[in-house]
Amino acid sequence: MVYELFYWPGIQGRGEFVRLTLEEAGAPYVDVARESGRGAGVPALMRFLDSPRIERAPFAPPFLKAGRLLIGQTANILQFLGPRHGLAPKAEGGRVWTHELQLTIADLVAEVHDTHHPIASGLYYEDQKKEARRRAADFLANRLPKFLGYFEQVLQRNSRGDRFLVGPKLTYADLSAFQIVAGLSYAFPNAMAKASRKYRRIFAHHARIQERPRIAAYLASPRRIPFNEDGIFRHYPILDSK
Amino acid sequence: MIAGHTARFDAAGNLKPWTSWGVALEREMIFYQRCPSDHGYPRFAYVTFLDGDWTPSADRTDTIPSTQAGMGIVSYLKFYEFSDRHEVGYLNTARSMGSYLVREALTPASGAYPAFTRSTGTRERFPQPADCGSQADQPYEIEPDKGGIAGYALALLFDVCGERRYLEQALHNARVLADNQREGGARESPWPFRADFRSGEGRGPISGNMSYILRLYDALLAHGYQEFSLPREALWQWIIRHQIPSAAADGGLFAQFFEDHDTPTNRTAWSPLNLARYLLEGRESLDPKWRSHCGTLIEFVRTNFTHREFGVTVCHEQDEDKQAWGGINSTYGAVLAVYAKAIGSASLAREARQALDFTLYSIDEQGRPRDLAQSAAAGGWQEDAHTDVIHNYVDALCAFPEWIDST
Repeated sequence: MVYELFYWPGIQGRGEFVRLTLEEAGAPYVDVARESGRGAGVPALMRFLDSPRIERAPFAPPFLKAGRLLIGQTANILQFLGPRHGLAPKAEGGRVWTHELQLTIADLVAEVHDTHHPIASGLYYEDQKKEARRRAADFLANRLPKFLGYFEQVLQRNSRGDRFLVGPKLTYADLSAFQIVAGLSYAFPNAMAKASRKYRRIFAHHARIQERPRIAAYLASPRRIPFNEDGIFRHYPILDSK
Repeated sequence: MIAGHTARFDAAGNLKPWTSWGVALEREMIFYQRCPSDHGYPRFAYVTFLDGDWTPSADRTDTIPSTQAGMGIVSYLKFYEFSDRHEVGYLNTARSMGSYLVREALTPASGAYPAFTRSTGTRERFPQPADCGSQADQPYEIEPDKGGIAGYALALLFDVCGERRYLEQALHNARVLADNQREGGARESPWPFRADFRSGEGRGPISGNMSYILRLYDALLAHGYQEFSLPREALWQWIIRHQIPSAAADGGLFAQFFEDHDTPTNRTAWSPLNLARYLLEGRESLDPKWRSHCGTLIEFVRTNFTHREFGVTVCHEQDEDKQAWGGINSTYGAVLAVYAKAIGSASLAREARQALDFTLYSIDEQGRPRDLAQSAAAGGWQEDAHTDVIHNYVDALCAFPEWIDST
């Protein structure tokens, strides 16, 4: 089966967490909105959002079409893909824990987004710069250490070693944690350079994931969209620490 | 020498490109991806006069937002598609230009043309003030047809990236245009060339560029906005009954397009060529007589707006400007190429290729284009150097893919 991933074409965004899992799994997929022609591109994506004939319509991209299943919400998609591709523990306790970590990452992603859009998603960053500066300063001072500290602790307390977040094997949560460190390092290079000295495990974890053959090949390919100032992780120097 | 390159000719004396189109265009696109950004936009999205080092011209603070960014969006979306959507930087540059139009370049939200994309403006004003009209616009004037260009470009942008604010502005521009649409006739187009956005009072009875408003209506109809069905039909009927026949006579209904001119009878090559491009894209589905209509439009341009440089037939802009600026000459080459392909004319294809080869000389080794081959250095009008040029090469390459590599 070829999965069909629906996400905005110009950004990594929330869709990137799904792409990373599909890439590591070696699963065949089509990034529909990045394709052209009939049944592709953004119009194909919009049809799922706008069509009154879809009973279980997703709220927003990303969503995944797997055969007849249409699955929305990043964490939900990953919860679906993980067990099918050996990227989630077999035991229920491990699966629930992996999902919990993914939901925590979703919370972090929302907070990162709010550093540049603290007032409204419908407004441009330039319309909320002042508020963004305040929000980003608080994020870097209080929330970033809390989240990084938490994932550092998860690695440290993993009884099967600190190579992965859950047990002895890679899960989709590890791929998402990789993306978090990559994105934060793009958006806040100064703050993350300082953080790398304190949260060594999570940065070493990021480096290990980056070297996995399929992930390395993906990162070097045109399928990996570069970070840019339209996505979740945006680099505005004024929002970074000095 | 042409624009700093030694002119190359084949044995028959035909001009050859200084390098392959693929190399030159890629260098130019890479050069523009490195354009500095200010205020969240690449500089070439909102500064009309830049030199080859991205320095704004000290004495030209006037700008042309809708044409420059609107045609820029069209160029970047076409190039993005042409390069198999691999380089999302091109898409994101188009988005930056769209965001500039939507966020910075609108009239105030009241009057006859409220929140309408500006035809002209003033550099370094974010957003543009109410009285920003420049070039030959009065301070409170807009050009309705430029709202068609911007609106159409924004509708395309929505189709590719899905951001609703672009569609909303396209829809808004179209509604404002429909509210101000008149029947038109033998001496006036359905909109005046200029209008005071506060009162709607027009200046210049003829606006030659009607095809982009038609494109805007078409794009919105394709999204299910049936409210544009009647305005679209009325505009189409005016084009068929009055404007195209005018090209077979004196071409008077193709007067006025460029922002820096205001002679009411000043005919241009831009509008008939872009109408021909529209017909060539739709062919029978649009107009059963597309072949003869395109022939009429192109012949009108060949008769009135071409001259020869270095043995090449090149196209100049308008009655009042006889120079083969990059925008108009590449438009000529592209439309002629697509027409030549459609009717199977090898001689017109050769002429088209030569015109485009000529403008290619304006790109230097580092990918920096000049607005006009005769200009002393890289840069100048950004729409003539870049934003209204790239899409023309893509159109020609879609008709003749083999032109990308041949030297």
